[in-house]
Amino acid sequence: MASSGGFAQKEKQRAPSDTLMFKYLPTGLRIGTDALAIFLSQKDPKVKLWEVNADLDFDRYYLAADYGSWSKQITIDNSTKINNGDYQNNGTYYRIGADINFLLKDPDKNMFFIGFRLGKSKFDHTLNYSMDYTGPYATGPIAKTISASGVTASWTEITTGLRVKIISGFWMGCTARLKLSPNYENSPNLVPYDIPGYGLYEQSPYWGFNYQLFWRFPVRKLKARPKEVKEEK
Amino acid sequence: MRHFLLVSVLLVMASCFNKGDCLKTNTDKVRIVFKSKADGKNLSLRLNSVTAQGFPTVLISNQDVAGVFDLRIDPNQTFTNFIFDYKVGDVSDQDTLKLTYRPLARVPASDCGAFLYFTDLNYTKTGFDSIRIVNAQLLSDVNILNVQIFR
Repeated sequence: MASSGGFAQKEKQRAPSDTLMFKYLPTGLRIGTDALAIFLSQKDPKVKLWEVNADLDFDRYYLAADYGSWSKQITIDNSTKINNGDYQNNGTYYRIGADINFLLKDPDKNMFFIGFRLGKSKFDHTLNYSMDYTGPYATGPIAKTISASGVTASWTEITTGLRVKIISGFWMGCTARLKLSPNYENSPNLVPYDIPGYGLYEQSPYWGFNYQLFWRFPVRKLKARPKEVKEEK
Repeated sequence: MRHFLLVSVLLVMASCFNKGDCLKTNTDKVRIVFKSKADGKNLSLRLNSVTAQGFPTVLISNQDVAGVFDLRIDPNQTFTNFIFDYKVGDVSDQDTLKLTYRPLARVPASDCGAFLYFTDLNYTKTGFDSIRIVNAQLLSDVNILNVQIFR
């Protein structure tokens, strides 16, 4: 009797922590892609973008990660014949961060979230342009090609958006990104015009937007939470 | 929920259109001032000639300056070697000054064009007694001095 009484006492103590563990176990991995990136790549032959997105739930918190490839050729044209040319970049990027879901009671686990990301990218870039010059060292325009390889950049993002279940296993969503504090290394003679994953370096803060399609792969069934054990008085 | 998704997409896309600033602040002129070693005041001097080694063009010829003057650097190189022939008071002198710098291309916005900035200004060789770099970036602001030469 004494031992069974002791066992019951242990159960009472353990129940709340088990409930907590159950609550924070992931229920599914969502993997998706950015439809807007695919659309832009199809529309403009000078743009090649793709991005994959993933998130994993821990109750109302989501671990989020993105990986993408970014290649652009941008024409620099100031409507005059001077200092024009083109800028090209090519590289990959990733973002990692977390989201907090504010739609806790939604039975479909739809999401309205706010989160943050840390972004990093590695890329090569080249600027070809013709510089207008009249002076003691040359006459006429000077053609310049400036490039750098293995340029690294990083930034931070505040994110918000939605994930909506369309049919079982298929989700659509959008993510708006407020991108902040871009910085770069390994490009001593060329300021990046466009950073893969970030966008225009000269603009901070800068907006980004993704329209995403997701497939969700359940890792465990979403069961009703066990009732909490109340202590007997 | 689905309508909310559509509206938020449109709102965010509408907020994405912003243009860059075409403010041009670069220059290829280095602003130099001659100062007196004794009291730190600007020195008036006569520049008989200032040339850049390897180029036939005379940058400054027979000019009286009240201490401050501008010299153009070579935008195709990372250095320019200046040769000064000058006169302070009754004393004529010749000195050299090799300035080094880092060209840095920047595109403020695609409809602005590309601009070449010069930064990390320094000197490696000089015949002058004392030199101080006070601003290592060449900017078009007329109030910014780059090099102080003490004599």
